Amino acid sequence: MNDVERWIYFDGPEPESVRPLLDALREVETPRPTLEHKARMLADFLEALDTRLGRVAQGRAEEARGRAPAFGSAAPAAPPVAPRSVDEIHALAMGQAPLGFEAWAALSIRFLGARAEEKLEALGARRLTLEAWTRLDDDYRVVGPFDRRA
Amino acid sequence: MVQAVLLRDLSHEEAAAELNLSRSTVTTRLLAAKRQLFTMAELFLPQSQRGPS
Repeated sequence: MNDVERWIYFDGPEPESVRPLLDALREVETPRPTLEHKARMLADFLEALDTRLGRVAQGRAEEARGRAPAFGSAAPAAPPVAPRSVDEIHALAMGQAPLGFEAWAALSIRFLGARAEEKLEALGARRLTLEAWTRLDDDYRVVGPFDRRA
Repeated sequence: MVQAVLLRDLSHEEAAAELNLSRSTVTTRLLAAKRQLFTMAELFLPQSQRGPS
């Protein structure tokens, strides 16, 4: 009995002569990722990254609170971050964020010491809400240090 | 059958459950499929490894 017969009748290991055909079939069987699938993978990755960075930031904040003198009351909890849509994350990844890095940097400098009305007026001129600005600000602050390290 | 057992490495029992067939039907059809695959397999071998035609 040869290896082909062992494979056919007794579920033995794949013989060398059949492997190229089976490999070709496996390749056809494996679905190629669609654009939507890629966007979802990217979203999952960024979500995991956000969670991880959030944990690091939270750990640092707790560490800082532990060092700071207690004033009797616990620090207020950070507001929950709204989940991002796939389109939003895709836009950020593709450099299509509602505000480019340069514009964000310029606005950040302008907002130093600015009154709330002035900030809202500047954001309104760019059709940005305060919530959208806060998100962008968080994102660019996170991305910034990585860019400088690269 | 080929997809379930040969490509996804399911057992005959698992394939039978998934395909809603009896285990013996899976085994019989798989045997026939393997014979056919073996005859087709030569086309995927390099020229040097093919038998005399």
